[in-house]
Formats: sequence, structure tokens, C-alpha cells
Amino acid sequence: MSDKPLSKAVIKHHLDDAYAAEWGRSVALLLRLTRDLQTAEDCVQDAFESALVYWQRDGIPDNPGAWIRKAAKHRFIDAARSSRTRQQALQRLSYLDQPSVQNDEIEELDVLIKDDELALIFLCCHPAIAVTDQVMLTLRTVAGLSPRDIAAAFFAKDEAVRTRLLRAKRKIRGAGIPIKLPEAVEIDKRLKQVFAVIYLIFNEGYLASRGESAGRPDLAREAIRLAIRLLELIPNNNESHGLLALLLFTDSRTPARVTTQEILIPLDEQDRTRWNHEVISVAFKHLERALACELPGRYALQAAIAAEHAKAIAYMETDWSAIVALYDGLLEIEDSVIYRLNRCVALSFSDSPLAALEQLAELEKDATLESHHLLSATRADLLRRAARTDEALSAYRLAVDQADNAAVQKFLQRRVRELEAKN
Amino acid sequence: MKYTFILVATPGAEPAYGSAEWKDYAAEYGAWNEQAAKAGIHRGGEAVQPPERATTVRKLSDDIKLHDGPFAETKEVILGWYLVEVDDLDEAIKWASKMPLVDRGFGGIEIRPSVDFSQG
Repeated sequence: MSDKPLSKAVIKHHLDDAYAAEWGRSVALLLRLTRDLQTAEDCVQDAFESALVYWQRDGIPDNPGAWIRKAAKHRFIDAARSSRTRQQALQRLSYLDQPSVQNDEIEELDVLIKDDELALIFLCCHPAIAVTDQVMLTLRTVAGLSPRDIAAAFFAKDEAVRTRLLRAKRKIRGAGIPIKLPEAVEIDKRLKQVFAVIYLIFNEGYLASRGESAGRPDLAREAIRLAIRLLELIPNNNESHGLLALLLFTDSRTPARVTTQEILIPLDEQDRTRWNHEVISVAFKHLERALACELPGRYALQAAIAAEHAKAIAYMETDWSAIVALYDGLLEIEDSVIYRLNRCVALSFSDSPLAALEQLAELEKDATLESHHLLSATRADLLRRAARTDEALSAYRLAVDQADNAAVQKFLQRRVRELEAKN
Repeated sequence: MKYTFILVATPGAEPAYGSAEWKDYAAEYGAWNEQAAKAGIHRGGEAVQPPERATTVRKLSDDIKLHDGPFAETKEVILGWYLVEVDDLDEAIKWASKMPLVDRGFGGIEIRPSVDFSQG
């Protein structure tokens, strides 16, 4: 503890740090007492609010997380009106207050809190909850984003996000979704869902699928933080390493992927010296761990593809045959139109644009991507490279109409102008 | 917790009543029933008559209205229900997944948690 009184700004800074690091774990621990997500969040929120006052008076505690959890626990016990609820809470608390663990200031119960935190993550990503709600719950409950932040991230109204979160919490309670670690046989399946949620969060942040990006919380960063935390909670999981590697490789290109006017710069035109090479070297370490198994998963393989790009000094120097082979591996795991589309692009370089157009024609029969701008944009690009300019132009124009992201639209319009100038 | 299993499928998805295939299918239900009874989770269940014989009761503007037919106009119809009592939704999902209707891909089960009136 510090002796000097601290300024509000300094306290706020420490609180923000504590919030990012301790929110999820604190909610997880409180959930053990409250058995209700909303109550747990309310107690932790109250604790953070009182911290603003107490820390200013008494200084920053040595272990802010333990302070928050202790305050939140007391808040819950004080609030438990009926003696029966209080009794139950005290019983659940008893494991925290064994004689051997007198000192709340040290993380004496780290292992237990880790299990609680993991159970909380699995709870938020439970398949009985709608996927959008899983994403929002994870951001709210595990990552500690406020409903307002989440609303900004998804271009939604505050009120709509609050309603969704409340409905999801009611479903958890009402339907009896268990607050516990999944059974060993279920873990892999349930983990896949957790990966999917983290990946969705990352993509929402990375692609900002609608509109401009100003004032939105950094969801890509939140996703990376969640992936790192997951790896700390379940170490040595190959696919967790794969997911983190994929996120890091992708994130490393952020400084080079949009112009100052928010126009998307495609991979082939990015200034590779501006990629974050520190991040890339960390990503390679995780990729190595991800591939150190017999059957690498989908995130490991996608990370391996991203790694091929990171390795190449220029777009045309990329080992496209390796990428085609990696997509073949992905297609064995899951027959996804996006994988097939990306394989086409790789094939257009390792073989020829015409060969890729043939494959793309097959793909276009698939109705699921019918109106997706990616399909038209890819066809347009292949036609342009095959010097079939008129066809390319109409495909680009179609793609502009279909895209719902301003940065992507601006890029496609640029292509249209370039081709018109040539024609 | 108590959960109601509502069995749903598109008419004709299951083997025809009385056919040889149906006999195997029915035997699988027998096996599920036996397992569930042994596990002590079986609280009852019925097969219901076809949708043409269904009546839906609703209150509209304070008036009880009867509707001749099932609850919604979808292709799937309710075939029956089970009431099971297990610890949580994960257990319920596990049992529902083992149900032949689901297991064989003929239809689905809507799991509805029962209202716990003791919680006020």
C-alpha cells in the first residue's frame, strides 16, 4: 500500500487495468456463490465502484483482484436478505475460508478460481444459447465489456444489447444450463464452440463488417486476450495454440491493411515491412505448438496458411502450392464454401486464373454464397487477370452492390475505375 | 430438474406403423425406455394422436378461442412427449440425443424445462 493519496486519474488507470485483468475471474468466483450470472455481475460491478472510493483513501491494494473479489463477496452476503440464502452462501464460501488460507491478499485459490473462470467461459459459449448471444455474453461476462461497448461494437442499440443479455441469462437460469466444467468426453466439442466464439469476436473487430470503425472497442484485441487466457486455463491444447497463432498472424497485418482514408488494401498490395514482425514471431511459436500433433485442427491449418503469407517476402513469392495443399487439408475437416473459394484463389496462382475460374463455376452452383460479394469479387479478379475486361467489370459492379462494408466497397470501386480507364 | 421432451418430425419420416422396419424402431424405443427407467429419470410420457385431431387453446382479447390443429404451421408435428428428471440441461440434452427419433435423424425433440413453482 502506498502512503500518499492518489489522484483520481491514477486510481482510474489502476482500476481500468484491474477491470481488464480481474473482471471475468471475479464474476466466475462470485457465480459459485450466487449461482446467478446477473447477481454475480452486479456484486463485482459494485465492488469496482467502491474501489474507486477506497483505493483513493487507502491506496492501491497489493492484489487488486483479491480486493475486488473480497469486496464483491461481502456485498453479496450483506445483500442476501433471507437467512436461508445467507446460510447457503456461507456454506459455498466455506471452501474459501479454510484455516490454511487466511490471507486474502495472495492468490491462494488460484487453481479453484481458474476452474471457475473456465466454467464461466463454457457457460457463456453453451450451445443451447444462440450464437450471437454467446458472443455478447462472453464479451460482457468474461471480457468485462459494458453493454454500451458491445452495442457500439455491433452497431446495435444499448437497449437491444441489454435485452439480449438479460434474455440469455434468464435462459441459463431457467433452462438449468449447468455452471460447471463440461464432462471430459464433451470438452473437445465444447472447446470448439469457445474457439468459434473467440474467432467471431476477432472477425467482428477485424472486419468491422458494417460501417466505419471510429469509437468502437477493439474487439480483435479482446479476442486475442481471450485466446491467451484460454491457453493459460487449458495449457498444451494444440488447437488453442492454433487459434492464437491464427489471430496473431492476421492481426500482425493491421498496420498495413487500410489506407489513411479507411480503404482496404488487399494482401497483394500491402507493404509487408509494415506488418508487425514481433507479433509474427510470437505467432510462429504458437503455430509450431499447434502443428505438433497427428491431426492439426482447422485453426492450426488456417494459421499455417497465414504463416505462408508471413514467410513470403512478396505476394508473388508466396508458396501457393503449399497453400492449396493446406486448403485441401481444411476441406477434409469441413467442406466450407469459403475454404473452396480461397482454394480457388490459391490455385489461380499455383496453376492459372482460367483453371481457377473453372473451379469457381462449380462453386457458384452452391446457393449459400449466391449473393455474397466475395464470390463476385473473386470472379471479377480472376476475369481481370485473365484479361476478360468486360466480364470483369460487370462482376466488380455486382460485388460493389453486394458488399456491406464501406472499406471493401471503396476498394472494389477503385478496381472498377482502373478497368474503365483501361477499356 | 424436470424436463419435458416433445418429439417432433415431418409426417412420413418414421417407418410406417406396423411395418417390419417399424418393429425394429419400436424395439429401440423399448430399449431407451428401459435404460431411462433403470437410471431412474423416467417420469412418464405418451404418444399423441395425429395433428388433425389436435386442438389449440388460446386466449385472445380475454376470450378463450379454440383452434383446430397444431400449435404452428410448420412441416413438423408433435409425435409425443416424455417427462424426465435430471440434474441440468446438459443431462437432458444427453438423453434427448440418445432418443431413436433423434439418433436416427427422423426428427427432433424440443426440450422445455418445466416451471418450478416452488421458486415463487
